[in-house]
Amino acid sequence: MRRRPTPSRLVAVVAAPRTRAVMGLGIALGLTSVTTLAYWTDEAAMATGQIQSGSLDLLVDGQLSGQGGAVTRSAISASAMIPGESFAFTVPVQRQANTAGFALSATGTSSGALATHLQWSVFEGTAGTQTTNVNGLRSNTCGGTQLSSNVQLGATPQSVISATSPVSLGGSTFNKNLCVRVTLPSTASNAAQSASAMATLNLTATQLL
Amino acid sequence: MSRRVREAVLWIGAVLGAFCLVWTAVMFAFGLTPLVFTSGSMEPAIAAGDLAFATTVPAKELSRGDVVSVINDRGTRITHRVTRVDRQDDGDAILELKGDANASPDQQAYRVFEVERVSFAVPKAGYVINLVGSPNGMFVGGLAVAGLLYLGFRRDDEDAPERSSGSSGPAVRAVAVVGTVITVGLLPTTGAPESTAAAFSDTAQVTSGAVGAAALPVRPASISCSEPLFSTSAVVSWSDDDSRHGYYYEIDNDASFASPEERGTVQPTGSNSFTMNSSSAGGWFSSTTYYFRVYSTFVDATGARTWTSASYRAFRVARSIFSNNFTCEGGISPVN
Repeated sequence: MRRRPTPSRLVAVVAAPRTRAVMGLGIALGLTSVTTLAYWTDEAAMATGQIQSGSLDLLVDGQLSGQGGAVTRSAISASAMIPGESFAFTVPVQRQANTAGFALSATGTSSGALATHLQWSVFEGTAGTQTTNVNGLRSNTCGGTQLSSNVQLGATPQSVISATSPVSLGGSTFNKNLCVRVTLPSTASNAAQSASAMATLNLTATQLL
Repeated sequence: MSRRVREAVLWIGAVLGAFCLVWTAVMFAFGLTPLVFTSGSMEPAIAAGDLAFATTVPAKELSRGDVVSVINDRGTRITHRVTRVDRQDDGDAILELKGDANASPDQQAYRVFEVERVSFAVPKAGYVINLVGSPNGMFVGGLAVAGLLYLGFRRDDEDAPERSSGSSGPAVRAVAVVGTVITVGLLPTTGAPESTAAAFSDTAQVTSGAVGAAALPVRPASISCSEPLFSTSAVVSWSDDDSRHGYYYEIDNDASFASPEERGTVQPTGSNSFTMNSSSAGGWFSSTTYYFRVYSTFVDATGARTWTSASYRAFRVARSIFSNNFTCEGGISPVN
């Protein structure tokens, strides 16, 4: 005897314990979806699927709290440089407490007639002690990891800390030192005489994910 | 376990399971990509922990202000707002993106042909998704599924009448097998939520003080010449004005110094004089008049001459014919 299932019979089928148990299998599907999420996050080199709220704040020597900002470090200077001389300066950078970790990259620009003659290098490290040789030549070096070498800065921003190998201030790291070295190469032409230049480093912190 | 509790548990499991099935079906049917926001740089529009749904659209349909999800060059999915669209002839678009809470746009520009555009977001739902996806959540879920199957299929007295009715037991088992196969088959579908970061950024500008180069060295302040007693030489000396100055000299038998017969560099630490005698100049002293000129220079770390003064000091020295006696004659132009 064949009968169309009545609504009450349909409910009875759905309500049968085993049907409901089988429907419960759907949970496994939901779980697997999320497993893919976890896999995905691994691929993306994220620590976990952790949700981070809060903010990100890059400081330069304890200054520039909040977004953006500019600071002048007049200590980064040199006078009466002669060809072959070099100077090095430490620039401390920090991550504000309780803010997201970040990767730091930087570009540099320079203005002034001496800009085309100077060469800039950036290290993750600190400046050494200035020495003067018998000929009166002053020189200094940076310790640590070299991030860029003898970059000539101009009006167009040049990378000095590459975004592909940035300085990391993640995890429990809140302080790092950058070292900036400027050289007037021995090949500098007479045109450099009495000229001067200023340089600007544009630091960009991007959240570590 | 009382029948009542068993019923309730089975119902809850069935509803949750049905929800997961419907979720997967809807994601698949409408081509939605669920995105869990793991950070908050799109605040206040979308906060960390929100669950957003995105659909894939061709690049040419994008406009400024859309929120899109892209993979950056480090492999991380970033969801930010479009601040500039640069359409290409081949249908691609180059996008400049910026998080609402960020001061500056992303460093990287993204070239896309099609892209996931966020349609809407559900606040806080990402936390639920992440909780379910955590190891603990998966463990509990696995237990729940096993428990439900046990409750639904266990043979006990309560089930006896139902089982005795005959057909429903095997039928339900068949459904269970089919359901499991479908479930496994659907695993790789697009219903999975993806984590997306709305990455924060910050910038800082550090400007240096002035870096100045020295002026060219100035020629020696003075030059002089002496004839030591009982000696057959002339000594040309010049003033040492700066401890960093080295000196560069040229000697020629022609006042124009067109092709100097001899030249040399004196280091800053060296002696500020040059002795002219029969042996000092390699035997080329066959003329009777010589011109000596000296510049101030800087030297580099290797002692090589770098910058040289624009002008010089010069002195004329005579050698007597048929002898090797040298005589200081006088300063010459430029005026000493």
